[in-house]
Amino acid sequence: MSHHLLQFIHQHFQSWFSQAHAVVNSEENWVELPQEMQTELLEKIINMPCPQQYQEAIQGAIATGIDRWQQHLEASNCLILLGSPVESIPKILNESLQAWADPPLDPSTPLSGHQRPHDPLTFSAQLQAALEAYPQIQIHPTPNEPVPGVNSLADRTSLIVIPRLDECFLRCIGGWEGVDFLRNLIIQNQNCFWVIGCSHWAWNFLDFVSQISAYFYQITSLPKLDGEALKQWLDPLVQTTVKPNFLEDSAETENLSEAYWELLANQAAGVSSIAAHLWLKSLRIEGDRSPDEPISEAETDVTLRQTKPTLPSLPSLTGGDRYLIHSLLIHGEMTATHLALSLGEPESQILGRIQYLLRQGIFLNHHSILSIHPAHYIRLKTELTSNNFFVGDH
Amino acid sequence: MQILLSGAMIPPIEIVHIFLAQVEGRSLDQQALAEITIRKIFYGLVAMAIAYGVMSGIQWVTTWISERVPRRFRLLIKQSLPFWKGLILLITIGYLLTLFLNLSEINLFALTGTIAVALGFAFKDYASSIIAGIVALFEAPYRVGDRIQIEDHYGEVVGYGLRSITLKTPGDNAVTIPHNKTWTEAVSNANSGELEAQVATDFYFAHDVDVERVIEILYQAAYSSKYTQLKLPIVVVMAEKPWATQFKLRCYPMDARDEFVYQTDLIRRAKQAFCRDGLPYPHLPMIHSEP
Repeated sequence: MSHHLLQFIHQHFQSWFSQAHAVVNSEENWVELPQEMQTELLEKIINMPCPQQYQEAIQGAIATGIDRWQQHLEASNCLILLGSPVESIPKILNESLQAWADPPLDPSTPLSGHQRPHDPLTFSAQLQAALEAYPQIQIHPTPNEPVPGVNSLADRTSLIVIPRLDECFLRCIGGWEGVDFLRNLIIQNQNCFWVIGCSHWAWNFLDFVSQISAYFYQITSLPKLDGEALKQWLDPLVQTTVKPNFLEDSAETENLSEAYWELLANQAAGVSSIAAHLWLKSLRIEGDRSPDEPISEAETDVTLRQTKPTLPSLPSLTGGDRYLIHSLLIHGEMTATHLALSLGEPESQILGRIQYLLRQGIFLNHHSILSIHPAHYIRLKTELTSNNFFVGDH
Repeated sequence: MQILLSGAMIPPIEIVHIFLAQVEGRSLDQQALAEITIRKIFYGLVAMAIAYGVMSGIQWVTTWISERVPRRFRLLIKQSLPFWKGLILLITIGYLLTLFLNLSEINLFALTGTIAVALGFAFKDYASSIIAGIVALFEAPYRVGDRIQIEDHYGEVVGYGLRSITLKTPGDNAVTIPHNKTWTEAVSNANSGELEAQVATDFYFAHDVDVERVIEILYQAAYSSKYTQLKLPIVVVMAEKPWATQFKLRCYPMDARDEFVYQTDLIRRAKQAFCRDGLPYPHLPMIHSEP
């Protein structure tokens, strides 16, 4: 807890004393972007490839894991990839594998479009049905099967990717039987190398309830992005939208730019999705207009300025709100029905608070799937830690 | 209050005078008691009023702040209340003593002796409670924010006064219990200054029930409850009764205040699963009484 508190204080101090702070104060004429423009830019960010550092880290970890597994009989056949619950791990995994010029094995992704079943007791059956289509996976163990010898190393040629373990469980009685089923399947299918994406929060929860890390100990986390990495990632968008600061001294401009990206990386705790949202929030447009005012056609080539990135404040939260937020962070994304099931409450009882949290911008709703707004994640984590909730450790 | 001495009624202030005179063998007005003026009386009254106001203010402020800060800091703030109250009381008494008495070593000795006699006669229980309250500050059998049971009263300690504590019961009643109960009664403290307190929930089944399945469901009920503090142990213990098999689920909510809603949540979740699996409840024998 003290670690989170110190991190929080550190972020505040760095934000306050940052050089970027000096730039902003002189820009009183610049206002927040209209909603329409923010949405447009956000879509561009979503369609951009994930940061290069993520891809390199994932490819490196998979290559090392596969190499060890193919060389040693007793080596682990599973690699767990952990990330923040507001990070799109399936997208990052998918892009990393697609961008890999020379992968050691061809990946299969049996659960790429997997969603939680309406009835949480059918997780195992649903997973079994999805995996049965892959002949390299042996669903039912053969009795009296001989212990594999050194010769079996040559048969280790399959790579199975499960992009999101978070979607395979629900916090209710019988809700993590699907994870237990997967665990047994992975242990008995030593001829396949499994790459599993999961959020830190879900992994911690599963570790509490079924001690999963005792079985799968080869774990790697997405790296923290520094200012340089973020600048490199968002640069294509920055180049087309953002106007450089009006300073005569180019060295000073360079320093301010570096300070800006370092501050952004620090505020976002090195998580790309949080950084993207904070970057968007830090953009300003010249003129006296409200965020809801649409942009006229004559203004299509407007240039924007970057101001000091700051974490948005949290609205006042009730005890019940914290339970909602905590559950959603454990599961990553879920429907209101599943959220109610995970809390053990009737759906009608939580809908009002969900609407409140949506209105406050804490929750996002995309085709009836709820998730946490990435920009609020850091403060929510501190809030939950201070209120004695367990959180996902990065 | 007056005390009968050698057949005559003597007011307590006179007893003080006599006692001090015996110790010093001098004129009391010159040695022990300082000159009492209207101004001093006024100062004394103002000091007492300020102390009362500050104590009430601190009580209100600590309660207000502690209910607004994150849970982790709630007990820390609440537990500081007796310290602040004690400090104010000490300063006020010190001020009043210096205002009205000449505190030489001998006078102090005489005064304490006199007070002891006076309290021994008149305020025995009151003094006993105050002393027990001071002892309780150091021994800490209970602190503000703890959930305790004394005799038949169970609840959260919401007030810590000079003479007594105030418990808020689950039925939202305020129960005042003098500190001197700790001399003679057992104090059962559920959380001892921590946020979490163990909750034990009993379940009963027929003797032929699938024990492994019941235990599995109970563990999962605890693991899946939103209130559970997963960092603390969850245990299921069993006992055989003549009429049923008893299962006791022991686990901790993140906040001891959620004790009863937590228990309800556990029972609700577990019963849904028991019902789904058709686990048999005990059949108690019918008792026929003669009309």
